[in-house]
Order: sequence, then structure tokens, then C-alpha cells
Amino acid sequence: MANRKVADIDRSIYDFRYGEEDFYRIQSGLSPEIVEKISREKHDPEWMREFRLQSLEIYNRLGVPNWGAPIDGLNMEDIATYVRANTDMKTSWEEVPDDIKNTFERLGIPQAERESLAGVGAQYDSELVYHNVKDEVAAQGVIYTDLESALWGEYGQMIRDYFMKVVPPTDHKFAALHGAVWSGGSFVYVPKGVKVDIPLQSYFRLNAKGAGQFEHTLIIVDEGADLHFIEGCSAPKYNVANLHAGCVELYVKKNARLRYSTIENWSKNMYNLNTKRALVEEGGIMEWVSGSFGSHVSYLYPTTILKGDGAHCEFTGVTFAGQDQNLDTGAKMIHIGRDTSSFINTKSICKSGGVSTYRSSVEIRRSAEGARAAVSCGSLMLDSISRSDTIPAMLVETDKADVGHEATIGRISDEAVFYLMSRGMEEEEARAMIVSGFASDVSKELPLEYAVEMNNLIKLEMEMG
Amino acid sequence: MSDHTGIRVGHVSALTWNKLKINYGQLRRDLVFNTDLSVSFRSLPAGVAHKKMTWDQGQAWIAGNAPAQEREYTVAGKFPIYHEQAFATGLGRELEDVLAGEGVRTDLLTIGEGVKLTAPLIWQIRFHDGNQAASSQILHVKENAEAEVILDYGSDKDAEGIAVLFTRVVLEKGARLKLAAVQTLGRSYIHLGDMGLSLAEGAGAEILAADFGAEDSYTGIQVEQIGAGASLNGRMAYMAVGNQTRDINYNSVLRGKGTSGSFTFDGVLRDQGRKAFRGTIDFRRGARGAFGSELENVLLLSPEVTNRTLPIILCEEEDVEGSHGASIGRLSEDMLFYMASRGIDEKTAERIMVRARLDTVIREIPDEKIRKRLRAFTEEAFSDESLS
Repeated sequence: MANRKVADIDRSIYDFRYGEEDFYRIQSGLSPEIVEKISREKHDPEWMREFRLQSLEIYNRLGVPNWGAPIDGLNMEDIATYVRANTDMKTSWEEVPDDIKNTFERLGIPQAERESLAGVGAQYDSELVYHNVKDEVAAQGVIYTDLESALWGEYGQMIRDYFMKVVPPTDHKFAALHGAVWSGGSFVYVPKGVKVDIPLQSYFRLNAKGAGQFEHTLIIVDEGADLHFIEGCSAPKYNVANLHAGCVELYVKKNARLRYSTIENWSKNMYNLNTKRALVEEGGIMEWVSGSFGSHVSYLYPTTILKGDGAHCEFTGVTFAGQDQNLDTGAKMIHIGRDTSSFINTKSICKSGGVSTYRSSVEIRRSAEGARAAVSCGSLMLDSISRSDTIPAMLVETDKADVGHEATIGRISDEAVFYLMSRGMEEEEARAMIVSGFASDVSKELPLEYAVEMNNLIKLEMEMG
Repeated sequence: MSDHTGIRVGHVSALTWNKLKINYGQLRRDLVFNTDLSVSFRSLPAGVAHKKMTWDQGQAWIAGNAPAQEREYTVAGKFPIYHEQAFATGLGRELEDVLAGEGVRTDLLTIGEGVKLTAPLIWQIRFHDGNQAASSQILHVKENAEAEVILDYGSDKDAEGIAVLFTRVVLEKGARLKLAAVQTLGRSYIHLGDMGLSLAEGAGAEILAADFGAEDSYTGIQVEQIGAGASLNGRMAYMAVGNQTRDINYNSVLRGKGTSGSFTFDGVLRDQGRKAFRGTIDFRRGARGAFGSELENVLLLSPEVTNRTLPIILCEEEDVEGSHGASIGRLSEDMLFYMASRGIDEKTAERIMVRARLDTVIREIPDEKIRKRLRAFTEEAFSDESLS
């Protein structure tokens, strides 16, 4: 098969940018003074100021990982950890400044809100610029707000009780960095028994050059409640490194259910060193749907701690690594409760010199009698200048468990292409269809409009020869 | 005698989270030798030659006769490694350095061009209580030769000591080798069984490993499939009962066009048995049409066992087909129910399943006496309730 016509993702719809006139931008680098300054800017409570400084100490103490994709191109001295547009957070779309509004309009965020979302948060660089939740959802007692204002409100103590408890700053170097300089993000609380029928969404846009985004998402789904939360992220491309070290902490209480969907499409100068973790109580259900398409380097392994008896988690993910991309993604499951169960299903695609690594761990602790876990991962190589690695670890500490794992790697079969061509398709079209089908495990789990976005992302153009 | 406390062996081909404690095996005791092994064969078949060499002569032979391997300096194209070897083995550089430092002698066994052995060659080593010794050997199978070799080593049941088997195998074009490594060392032994193989065009290796004895056992094998069409079929059976630990590192490196490699691992863990398994299929650029698979089945029989499994696929070639699978857990309820409906109690059912797992390798060993001895050895280990 001489022709290899599956093209790179068309990113042009994300690759636009605005200037930073009138923006507040903290000096690049990392020091106690800079952290203090961010804390002052954000009017932190005293405990948070101390928390930031302790996190910075931990950051300075910890080394960078000796596994995973190289991050030599990332120099913290060149990264501005805090950039704020000269605007307060708005709850009316019309009041958002034009540049920022145009950005989100072009990304289709307000349209999605009107049509299919229960609430929307939009973050531009380090701060939320827009936040809104539908009246009927608010009337159910659902709290969806930015984390900073929640720190001072009636949920202040709750945030203190939960903030960076499931991802402590000691977890790894970039969790510590996050603890020191976090800004923006969302706080969601769904009260007991409340079922939110339509999804909430946050969209993160990093416009500033040479900057970092460190938003913190804290979601608590109380007993018997149900929520679908969607996050999207993108950035224009610059020729210097940008850094995203966000943190997502999810608490799924007894018999609650949370679905957390992400379509990540950072630009190819982004170091995406993101940490996501869920703690699931008895009978709770956690579902991750994750599409990783962008960034230069990614380290992303959503982790689920199945603490309560009978807790369950499913992770469905797709990763597409093209030219100049080294995407190290996967998931971690930690079974602690009895009769807990987990299922990981991932697909990796690489082409044009991209490097895709699937990395996972499944841990069945001694207490997790009756645990069941299954891992299934598939990799598709679209050429021989790319690289695809599969590194799944399993740790089992009880005999009363069943753990299964299967992985495959291969290319698009000539027979399948030939078959589709015999039905009248062009070769490029046939190859694209096969790749889309390969990734359909994820797209079919997304709401329709996001599935469309994802298919646009895997826009497999056919023009090259 | 130098002190080599706590060397690390069996480095994984691509590092992962250090917290999982699976990136390498770490010796719990010093690696110090007090006994020289002297190998002699009572009689060798026609076409087979044995030569005794010093360590340096052995290294020179490898440098002069083994096909060139890439001397590697990075892990999966990412990080610098600290265990690069001219002729790669599964346990790696640190062990080789210890053997070099101790001046361990090397035995070279050559099977002549076109020679086809009709009976297996049995290389038996009996270790005694208190022995701390290493055996280094090179098997050279020349063009189109065919042979079966059994490395059979053990000791008395309660013996204590250190046994290192360092085996390098060079298969020339079209050569075929069935190599069985059978380990039945005493309960207080430390065992390091290290192998490296290089396969030229059309060469075929079948590896059988039965890792049953010793308290701590570290086994490693690296197979470099360099020539087009080289093939590898590996099977390993192991058990960890009482306080036994197993640390396993297998790498199948597919470099040549149309090469194929498949590995199957069957293990049983009971009592406080611990095991770490790292297995890698490594498709290198240019290995067009290569096929690789690995499969691990682990039967867990006690609540205090610990199993670590890391099956890796590395791939930089499009035109390949690779797969791995793992199944870790207890006896299935269905199986127990079926057995019960046939009047077989749980204990007996367990015994039958253990036997079936371990027999996947035992039955393939081309010597009836050794097969019998291995069956008796495993039966005794699993009937010894004092261990649990």
C-alpha cells in the first residue's frame, strides 16, 4: 500500500489568538515571592496562603519523573504562572470583553450552552471570565461556581476539607506546583439524591504566550446524586513552551454517579502535566471519557480510588499523537473496597512521527476481596516513523480477585481497505473510516455535539500523497 | 571477594511508576562466591565440542563470534539506561559486572555445522549446602545444526547458598535449539538464571523454563531476533509457595523481517509467595511482517500472595502484529462447581489445576527422568502444608 493518506488533525479552528494588552501578568519563574504575590492577588484565606508556600517547598524538594516523555523543553523560569485578563467574572455573556467572547464564540461554547448544557464556566488564562448555571439546576441546590469565591462563601469549610486531599501536593512534582500556583477552576456540589439531567461544562482556554494554566476542579457528588461534567481545553500555538498543570479532584459519595468527559486539544507547544483523581465511596460509579489530541507532551492518567464496597469505575479513552507530539496517557485504578470493579478501554493512534504511550496500573489491595478488573488497550500504527508503546502494570495482593488484561498493536489491514474500496470508496476515505471506527469507543460515549467535535478533531483529510 | 550487596537485576525495557516497585529486581543479600565450578562431560556426541575458557576469553569469543547487536543506551527511545551490554541478557549489566569482577570461568559448547543431535544434551549441575557459585556458559549452534539441551540444576531440599547460571546462546543461520532450564534448588538458595540469545536468519529457538526451587529466584532472558525469519517460542512455569519470591524479566527484541516471538508464562502463587513479572515484546523499525505475542496466567491460592505483572509492547514499525494478555486470579467458580458436580472437592480441584498449569512446561522437557523428578518436586511443595 504505497499511499498513506491519513492526514494530521486540522487544528486551524483552534489556532487563533489575541493580544494581552491590559492584562495582568506575573513575572516568569517560581519563588516564594511570586507565590505570595499570587496569593495576594487572589485574596486567599490565610490557610490557603500557607498551603501554597508549603506546596512550593515540596515542589523544590521533588525530582522530575524518570519515566515518561521527556520534558527537557520545559523551563519554569520561562513560565508566567499567573496571567489575568482585566475583567471580573461575568454571569452575563454580553458583558464578557470582546476578544475573549470572540474566542469562546469561535469555539462554539455559548452555542453549546444554549442548546444542551445545564451550566457553563469559561476560563481564559488564569481566571474564570464567565460562569453561569441554569435556574432550574440551581433550584435543585446544585452549586456550580468558581473555586475562589466558594472559598469565602458557605462552602468555604467544605473546600478546606476536600481541597488537594485526594491529590496531595506530595503526590508528584507537578501536583506540588499546582498546589503552589493554582488559579481558577470550578467548584461543583450536587446535593444528596439530586440528578442533574443535562451536563455541566467548563472550557479552558490558554491564550497567553509562555504562560501556565493551573486550574483546580473540585466536584462533590453527594449520596445518590448523579452528574455529567464535561471539560474542554485548547490554546493557540506559540513557538515557546506553555504549561498546563491542572488538578481535578472528584468525590463520588455512596451510590452516586459521576461521568467526567474531556476533549483535550492543547496546541503543540503545550506541556500538559495534568492530574485527575476520583475517590469513590460504597456503591458509587465513576465514568471517565477522555480524548487526548493536542499538546506537545502529555502526562495524563486519571486515577480512581475505589474505596467503598461495590464501587465501580469505567475508563474509556482515545489518544491521537501526530507530528511533534509525545503523548503518555492512560489510567490508574486502585481497588480498596470489597467487590469493587473496574474496566479500562483505550485506543491509541500515532502517525507522522508522533509518540503514543499507553500507561496504566491496576492495583488490587489485600482488602479488596471479590474485586474484578479488566484492561483492554489497542494501538494503531499509521506509519513507521511513529512510535507506540504499551506499559500496563497490575499489582494484585489478594487471591480473591480476577484481573484480566489484553492488548493489541497493529496497522490498518490491507484487506479491510480493499474491501471498502471494492464497495466504491476511495482509499483515503476507507482508511479514514477505519481510523474513526477504531476511535468510536470514545465518540459513542460523548453527547452528540462533542462527538461531532471529536470527529472534527480526527479530521482525516485525504489530500496528501 | 568483593561485596555486591543489593545489585539490581532484570531492568525493565521501559520504566514506569517507581511506586509500583516493578522497574527492576533487587537482591536481598550479598552476591559473594566461595566455590569454583568445574564442568566436565563424561562423553559428548560427535560434532559437539567443549572448551574451557577464562572470563576474558569468553568475552573475547562473544565479541568475535556473536552477531553485532545494537549497543543500546536508552530505554524505549526515552531515557538513558545504565545497564547496556554488548551482548544483552535478561538480568543485565550489573550481574555481568559482578561475574567479570569474580573472574568466573566460561564453558563454550559448540554444536558443529549441520550436526543434528538425536538425543538431548543434559548439562547437570548439583549445588551443595553452603555453595555460592556461578556458572557461565556459551552455547554456539552453528549453521543448520539442531540440538536439544537441558540445563538441569538443583540441590538438596534444605540447602542454602547462591547459584548463578549465566548462559549466552548464539544461533547461526538456520540453526534450531530447544533449550530447557530446570531449577530445583533448595529452599534457602538465591538463584539468578540469566540468559541472552541471538538468532541469525531462519534460526529457531524454543525455550522452556521451570523455575520451582530456591527462596529468591531472579530469572531473565533477552532474545535478539536479528536475522530475517528468526523465530522464538518460549514457555515458562513457576511457583512461589511458602516465602518464595520470583522476579522475572523477559525481552523479545524483534529486529529482522518476518521474525516471530511468542511467550507463555504459567504460574501459581500460594502462602506468602511473591512474584514480579516483566515481559516485553519490542518491535524495532525494519521488522516488517513481525509477529509477537505474550500471555501470562497466574493462579492465586492464598490471601497473602503478591503478584506484580507488567507486560509491555514497544513498537516503532507499522507492519507488525502484536498482542499480550494476562489473566490473574483464583480458580473460577464455574470450574469449582463443575468439579464439585463430579464429586471432586475444592482441595483436589486446586491440586489438579496446579498440576495442569505447571505441566504445560514439564511435559515438553525432552527427558522422562527429569519430567518425573519435576512432577514429584512440585507435588511435594504443594502438599507441604507447613509452608502455609
